[in-house]
Amino acid sequence: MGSAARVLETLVSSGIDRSRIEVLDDRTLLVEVPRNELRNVVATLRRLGARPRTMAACDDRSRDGVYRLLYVYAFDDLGTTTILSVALDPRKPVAPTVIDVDPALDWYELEAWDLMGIEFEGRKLRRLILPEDWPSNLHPLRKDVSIEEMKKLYKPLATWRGLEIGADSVALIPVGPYHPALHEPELFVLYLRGEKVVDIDYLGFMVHRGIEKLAESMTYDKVPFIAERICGICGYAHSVAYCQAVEHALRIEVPDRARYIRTLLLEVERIHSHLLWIGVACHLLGFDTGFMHTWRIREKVMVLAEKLTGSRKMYGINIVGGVRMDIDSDKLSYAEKVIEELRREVPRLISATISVPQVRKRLSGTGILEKSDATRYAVVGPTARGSGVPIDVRKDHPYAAYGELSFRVPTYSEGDNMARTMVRVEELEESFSIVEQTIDALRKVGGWIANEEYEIVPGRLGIGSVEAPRGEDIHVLITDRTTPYRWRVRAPTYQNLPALRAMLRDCDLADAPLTIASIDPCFSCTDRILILDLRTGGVTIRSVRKVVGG
Amino acid sequence: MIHRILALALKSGVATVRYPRQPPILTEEFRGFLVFDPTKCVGCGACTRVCPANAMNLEIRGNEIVVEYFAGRCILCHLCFYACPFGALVATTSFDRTTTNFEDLFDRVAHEGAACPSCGSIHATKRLIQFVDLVLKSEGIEIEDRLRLCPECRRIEALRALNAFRIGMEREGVEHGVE
Amino acid sequence: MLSMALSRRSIWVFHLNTGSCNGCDIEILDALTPVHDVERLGIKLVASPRHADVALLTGPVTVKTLPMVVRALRAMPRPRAVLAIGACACGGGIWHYSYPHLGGFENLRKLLDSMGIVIDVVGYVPGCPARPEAIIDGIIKLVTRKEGGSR
Repeated sequence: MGSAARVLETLVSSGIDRSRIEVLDDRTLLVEVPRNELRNVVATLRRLGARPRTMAACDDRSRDGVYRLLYVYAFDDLGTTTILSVALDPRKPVAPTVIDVDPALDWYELEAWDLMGIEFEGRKLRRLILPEDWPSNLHPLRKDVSIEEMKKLYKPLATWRGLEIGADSVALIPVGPYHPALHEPELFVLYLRGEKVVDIDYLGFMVHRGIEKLAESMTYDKVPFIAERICGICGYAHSVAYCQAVEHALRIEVPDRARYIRTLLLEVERIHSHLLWIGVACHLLGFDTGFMHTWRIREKVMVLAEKLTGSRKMYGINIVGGVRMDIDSDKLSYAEKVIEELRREVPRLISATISVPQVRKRLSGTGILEKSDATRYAVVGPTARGSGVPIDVRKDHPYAAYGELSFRVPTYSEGDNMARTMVRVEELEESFSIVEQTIDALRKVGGWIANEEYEIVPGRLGIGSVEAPRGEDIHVLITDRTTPYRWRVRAPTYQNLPALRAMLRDCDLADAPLTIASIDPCFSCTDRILILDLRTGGVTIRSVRKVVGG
Repeated sequence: MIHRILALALKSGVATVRYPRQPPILTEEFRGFLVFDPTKCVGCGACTRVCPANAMNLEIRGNEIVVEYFAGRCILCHLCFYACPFGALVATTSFDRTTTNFEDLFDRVAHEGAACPSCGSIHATKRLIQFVDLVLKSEGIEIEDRLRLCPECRRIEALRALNAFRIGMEREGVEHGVE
Repeated sequence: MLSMALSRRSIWVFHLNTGSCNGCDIEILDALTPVHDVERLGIKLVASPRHADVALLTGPVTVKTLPMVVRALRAMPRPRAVLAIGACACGGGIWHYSYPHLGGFENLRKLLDSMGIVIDVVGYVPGCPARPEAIIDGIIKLVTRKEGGSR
């Protein structure tokens, strides 16, 4: 019995009408859910152990006259995906909120309201992605809103918008948007009582570039290039996820050789990303020796990537149906040599960094995420595996060539920063072995590298998921004739960030930057503190050391 | 701890490549900037259709058609290099288009435009039309007058011809005319 | 030219990410780490724009970062130099048609001019992502221009 059939049986026995369930393929089910039953169905799925993967809001008015919400759940032990589809009134789309039964969907609802204008009953809505002064009834992802129109209607403000003040005798520390160590402009606000963090707010989404809307005006073969530029660190994973979503929707068979090439590059990317993360973590601990050595070693991986694909970071070789460049045997031998070097260098590096007593002390016992919180927030990737949740898309929902390779999924149960670090360190070892296995396979597997004979059928639904270095990337795609009709991207950090609230509770301020960094490479030391005095409304900026130290 | 770090440093030796005094670490596979060869470009616009970033642009300015490569927007995917039928875009491993002058980021070729004999609008480059003529001649295909028209006029011309044909058929009393 | 530009004094740079994908940002870090080690040329990354000679600007300037970017650039001492790194900062990159950003540094510069914030020298480092070597080249060219230009 296929896994989809087993899930189907479970769903029917827990009270969902059989006639509403459609089996898309042996791994995917589509359930049509009436609006008023949504909360019950979501609660049932969560009770049965399903994990929320993503939620996509679609403007289907031009296709079948409704707005639609697609809730994507996974039964990881069975490797099956269940999609709940809820149709909403086209004139006034209102859905019941589900965040009390599934807290992991908080941001998805805010985003659906912000970008698509779908209201959720029974919760407070606020802007998540767009700036505060964005016109209130202009929702970018609606089909009747064009990019030109938006450019006309919204003129960005160049002056500073202040922070909103929500607590009184609690000190607020903004982390970001610009701060000494690198990376994205993002703003965390830490609420402190004394030196302990009591709460955290994320006021980010500053890197919103309108990708999903932009893709609706681009042909299928151009979109992998945007998908790759969602992230400069794990971009290739996004481009594979996009291609897989199209291939799933249009039932395109990918040649074996292309699947192995994708696997090889995904693992090269994972090695580079994990090394980068270890370096940045060392840097945040003030251990720059570790940072420099890690990046010295990482440079070899960058050169390898350039040798294999032609670019150091934006590999740009994916197309729908396969890859557009082959990897010859010279390049494979070069890759083998680099992996050999890394196998020698990385353990040496680890023994000189992670095993340093001071580093161990800073990492152990800080930023704890309990297993129960990990499942509640439905975290993914090393963050989940560090808290004893053994999920890995590569094993649970095999894609590319992962089904034919042997590898281990390292899992730790402590849930602290050390556990997350060790998961990444051990994954490096696994990645080396996967790269070696794919090199062997590529020497044997011949044939085409792309399948370009496919027919585009509009209105098909596809899901592509990839285990990126930081966790699960999942793309939901609905096809149209020449361009994607709707493309919903969910990056791992989107799922992991809300869990910071649990990780940072009662943690010391000094450990906060590292803990924030432990879910996603990078967050640095706070350099100034904002003390808001509600009685006078004045703002004082002092150095952290003065306030925290004495 | 110190001895471990020292050992690591000793084993790894000097890693620095003293660029610009030493040559950069560059593999021959690197997808660098494109070099635009104006002598080969005929202004067909194939590159502008495949470019995901719209770094290649084709613009009608007065009676000229300008093909523009904006290196500042180029994402180095080399799709245009594969698309160009004339080899006018050459793929290199060069990474240095660094400049302090914004205009240096543009490579432009201005082609003489061919005017439509009917409405006078500029719709294609003279070089492209010459090239098409050459191909047609070598295939032994006769060059008709309406090939010189712009797409808009050609459409009108075709409809007119169709209409004349239909009227002619009706006069001859054919029941199932061309629709 | 190189030694002339670099031996006079060291250049402090401030990194300003305006919504980039991190590709260029990790290449900037790459330039700072052992393999390229720009500190040998006296180039140092600083934490505050007030200390900086050059701002390394990456990304297409999204509308949400705009107020902060303006603030950071205003805080820089004159003569202000900006190095626009990557396809996004130079010309909007693959995003240039999309809605929630300005589409690169040129448009930001026009806005800054209208606000009375003068940027004295601008360098452009195209590439997606810009290679560390290109970033080094860019800083050298920028500084040569800055030192040689009227001050």
